[in-house]
Amino acid sequence: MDFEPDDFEFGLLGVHLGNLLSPKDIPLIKGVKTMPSPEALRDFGAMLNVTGTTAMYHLYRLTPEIIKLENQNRIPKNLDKIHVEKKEIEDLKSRLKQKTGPINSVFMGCPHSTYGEIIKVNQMLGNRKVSKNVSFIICTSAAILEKLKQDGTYSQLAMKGVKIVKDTCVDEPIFKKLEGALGATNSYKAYYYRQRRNHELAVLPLKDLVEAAVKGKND
Amino acid sequence: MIEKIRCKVVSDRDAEGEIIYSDAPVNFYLANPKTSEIIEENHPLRGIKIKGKAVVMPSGKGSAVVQIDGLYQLYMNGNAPAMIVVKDPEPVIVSAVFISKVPFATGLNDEQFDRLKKGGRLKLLHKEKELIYESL
Repeated sequence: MDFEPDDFEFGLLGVHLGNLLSPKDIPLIKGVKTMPSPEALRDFGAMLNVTGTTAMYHLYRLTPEIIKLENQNRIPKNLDKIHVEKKEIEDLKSRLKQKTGPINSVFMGCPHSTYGEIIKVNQMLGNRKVSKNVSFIICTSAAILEKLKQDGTYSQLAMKGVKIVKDTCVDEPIFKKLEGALGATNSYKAYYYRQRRNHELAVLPLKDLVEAAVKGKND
Repeated sequence: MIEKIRCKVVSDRDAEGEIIYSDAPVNFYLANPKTSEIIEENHPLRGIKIKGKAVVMPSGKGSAVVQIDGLYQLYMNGNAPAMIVVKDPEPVIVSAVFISKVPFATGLNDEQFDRLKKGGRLKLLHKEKELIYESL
């Protein structure tokens, strides 16, 4: 790779590579200089397994097993190469945000949001509230929900119009009333699976997603 | 022309169907269980009904629960494919065919698999571990 992806782009890199790899392939990613965040690693692995089926991956000089193999000079030579340019990820990003207009929903937590992500949403909202036309739903674990209740974030976000739900998935019939209109998400996985329920989603980086929630539309 | 192809099988019965060949992996969750039509945006099989067909594809794709759920819903609605033939098997598609009872074959070599692209009919003989391919 000739660029260092941010957290959102790591998910899109997973989408891109999932389309190119076969189940037999184990990708070794070169070009990433520093260990990505847990959210980036989560999204990369998850999205690889939306557009494809990849059981494992290595990040060159970063993930434990490949460091061990390199130290033992056991990384196989003559591996097939795929060059990924930033433009390919930018093009994908543009395509996924294309659906514009009023939105009825914002979905986060596919896979489940981390504590840090939810704190970030609270900070990004500041004193603002989510548009009254938008159901802002974040799926997370029961343990994280409990922590958010204890530190007050859960009630602060509730006042701003954000609902946090535990131990479930964005692709469930409980969200039926939101089907048949445009929504937004930061997850390609959510976008892909909610097609099944006739619920179109624009896929946006977290900052743009929060802005769309406040405005009630994707520009 | 009729060709016998040795294969690996997951099935307790024989099966037969017209070939629907996909260049892209298939996630059966993106099929409408009521009609068996593939609904995934930009998929080469979009709009095609797979009920009773021999779906030939490079592999499955997507999360475990949805692949299994998708095939199982097709089965429960009487809209499952007659069989699935896969080039590169992975644990998700194999688990999904076990649960949904859709006959499954794999283990073809690249040349055999590529010939199926021409279309025609496939018959799976599960005890013999053989596919009988009748090309168009």
